[in-house]
Amino acid sequence: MKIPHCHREQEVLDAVRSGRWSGAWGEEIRTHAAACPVCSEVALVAEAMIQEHHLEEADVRLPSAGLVWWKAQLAARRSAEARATQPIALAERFAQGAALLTALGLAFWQWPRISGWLGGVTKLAGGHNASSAVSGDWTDRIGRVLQTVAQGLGGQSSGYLMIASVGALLALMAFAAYVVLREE
Amino acid sequence: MSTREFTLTELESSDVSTAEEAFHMDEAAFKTFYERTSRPLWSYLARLTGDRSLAEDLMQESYYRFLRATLKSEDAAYQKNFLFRIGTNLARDHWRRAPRGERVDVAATEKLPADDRTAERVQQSSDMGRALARLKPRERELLWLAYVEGSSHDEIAEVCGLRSKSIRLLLFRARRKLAGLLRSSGEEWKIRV
Repeated sequence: MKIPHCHREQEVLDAVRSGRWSGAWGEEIRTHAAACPVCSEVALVAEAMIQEHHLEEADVRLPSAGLVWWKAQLAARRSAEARATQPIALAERFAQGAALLTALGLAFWQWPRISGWLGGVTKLAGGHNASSAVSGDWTDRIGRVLQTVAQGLGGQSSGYLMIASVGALLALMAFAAYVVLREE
Repeated sequence: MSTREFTLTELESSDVSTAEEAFHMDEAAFKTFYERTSRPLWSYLARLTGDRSLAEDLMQESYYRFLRATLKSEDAAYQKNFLFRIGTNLARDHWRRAPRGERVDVAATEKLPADDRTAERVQQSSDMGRALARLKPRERELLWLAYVEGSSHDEIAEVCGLRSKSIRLLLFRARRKLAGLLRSSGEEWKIRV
């Protein structure tokens, strides 16, 4: 596509932007623009936009540089804080997960003992036959849930759960040691 | 005039560890820079978005990002173009995110005239607002930068993220479109020769 061009296009734009266009000094360039379709279009658009700009700018009250600077500093500080605390939040989540896995492994490993202890506690509390039956019922149910979880994690064998929980325990211990040593 | 293009790293750089390290200029230099660029940037964003308060928010965000970016040059023109580029990207992001119903029509944002303004000027302004509203956002960007900011084609290309060679044609089309809209809108916009 051929773009119509005039070598005085920039001169017209400069005259409009500088205000020379409407004064006596702009007479010659105005005469040229009246005869030149490219320059008349440039002058029309430039005049309209600059006038619009002046009208709009006159009404606006912008915040001070000091306020913008202060807000930017505040935002940077918040962003830096968020970045600094991100590893701590991640470590917390990791520790929680490892602790849960360890507790799960421990509960599965020692479930017969825990179940017996829970039954003893119920009897010591003077529960009736009915209530001890109920407590035996729910301890059995937890045992079955643990078995299901272990199978879900390890497929056929519950050994995987034990390995995972021992791994989690070791990782938790290593992490705790790292935190303590780093603090010192 | 700076003609180098901005890299992605410059525009998105934020690898700073503390707030003190974050800014590449001190408060005094920032104040000078702000005094020089805030009004042009606000006007540009106001015309781009059609919303004065949104323009102020985007302007402040532009300065914040500008301060945190890693600049490769101390050149004043380069810094201004870089700031306008950030503002343009923020306005485009806003435009993309905003649902169609929430987009503000430039023509609908009537400015309150000051007491000493004539009715004719206000009428002209609303005609201009309506005409600008019928342009595409990119056309508004190009025309504002070329005719109000007086930016060169290379500078417009930097700010808009376009190829320098395509600016001439795009600008010509946008100018022709706006001139047609202004001519059809009334007598007030006829060229004063």
